[in-house]
Amino acid sequence: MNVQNLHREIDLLKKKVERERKARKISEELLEEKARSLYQANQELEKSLEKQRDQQMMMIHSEKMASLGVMSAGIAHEINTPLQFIGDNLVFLDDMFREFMVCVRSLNEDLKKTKFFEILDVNYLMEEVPVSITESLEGYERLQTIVKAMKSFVHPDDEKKSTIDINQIIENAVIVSNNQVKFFSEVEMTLNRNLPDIMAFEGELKQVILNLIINSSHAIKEENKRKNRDLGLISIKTSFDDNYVHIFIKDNGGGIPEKIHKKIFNPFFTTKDVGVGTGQGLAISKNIIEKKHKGSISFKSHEGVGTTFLIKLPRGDKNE
Amino acid sequence: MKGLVFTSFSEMIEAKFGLEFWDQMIEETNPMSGGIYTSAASYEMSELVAYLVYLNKKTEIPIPDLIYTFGRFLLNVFASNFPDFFQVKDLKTFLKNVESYIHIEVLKLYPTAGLPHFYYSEPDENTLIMNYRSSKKLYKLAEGLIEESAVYFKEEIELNTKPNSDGSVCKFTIRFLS
Repeated sequence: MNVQNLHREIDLLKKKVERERKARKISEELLEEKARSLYQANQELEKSLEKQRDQQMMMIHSEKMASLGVMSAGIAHEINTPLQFIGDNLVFLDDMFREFMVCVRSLNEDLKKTKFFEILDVNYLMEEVPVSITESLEGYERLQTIVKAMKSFVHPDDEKKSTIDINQIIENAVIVSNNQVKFFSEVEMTLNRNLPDIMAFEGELKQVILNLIINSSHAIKEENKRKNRDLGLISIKTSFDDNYVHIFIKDNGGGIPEKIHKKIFNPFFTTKDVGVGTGQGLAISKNIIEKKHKGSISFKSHEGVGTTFLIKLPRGDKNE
Repeated sequence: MKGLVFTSFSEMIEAKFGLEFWDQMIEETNPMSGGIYTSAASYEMSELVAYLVYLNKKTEIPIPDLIYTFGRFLLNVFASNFPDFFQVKDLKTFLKNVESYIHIEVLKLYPTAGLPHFYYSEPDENTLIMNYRSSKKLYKLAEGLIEESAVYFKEEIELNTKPNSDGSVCKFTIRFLS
């Protein structure tokens, strides 16, 4: 091979190397593009997997709630029967004792001073028994109200919309939640008595309102400690316009920090301690209000002042 | 058309005619790609056609024969790049796998690859009919691939090629003699 041929060969090889280099660059760019699209596809897959997981957990939670609902309804029913005969017997004892007292009062004064009267301590009985019966009757009535509220509160199977009195639902929710709320807060209700009935899923709506009241009480509990006060205040108000029924649930708890405003309706988002909240309540509430009732749920909150949730439910489908 | 066809074609030209010939071919046909090919990309089929026309002009070998020769070369590139496809007991199994397995795997890697379609029939135990269909009309390439795969599997075959008038459809009747 002469020198000229050698130079030609070298030139050809250089050109070949240059082509190979450019081809490699193209391959690398394609590889990068492929890797990027794979990454994106993976992200989308993860996102949809997470969504599916959340939906699954929500379903499990809803089923648990439904089971709990069935159980509560059963317990309420079981309590109701003995409660009724306790009530009947108390009324009977009250009547009988009143008659007994009328008889005693009509007795001869000398007879009232006998040893028999003294041993039985009839005067004491006549003073204390009516008080005991009255207190028992009051307790019975309170129990009856709670059981009635519980029974009306749990309808896990009501899949159909029915005509609902929102005020009634709120009053029941306040009774049912009273045991949890009363240690931390007073509850004030300003319910518009002209509020129109709406068509709604009763059981689920009750769940939403109860959930908001309980959340408010948790917020107030924390704020009470911080402000060293005994009780906070939950104010519940109803109103309406041409299209919507409005429910305001306001508390003077610590408020929701602004940085988490966008997250509070996310499934499993919670600021509560482990075991106190599952982070499902508001996600489920949003689903119930927006998806099932075509309404809206929103809130305004200021740290250190409190939070107001507003539920708007359409009243237009009453005749559906 | 997939880049692997072009990288293989350039290898073949270099091997059979030398680097200088390939360089001249690029310069004279002036392809849009600049003769820079990578197996992961796709290129215009017109570039391959231009190369074949150039080759035909320079060597006077008919274009169908050039495509057939390239098909035979390509088979060995496939065998060396994708050995898993060749891990089968015999030629017949390999050929039957082309549509039902190999093309499916190729499409997983290159979803836009414009592959031909094969429809099979087996009139008897020793005969396989592969009906080729492709808008690229490269049945001679398929013929070269089939012939060379018989060499790869060390089997003797008798191949009858019956294309339609425009070459978009072709019936390959393969008789297995060994």
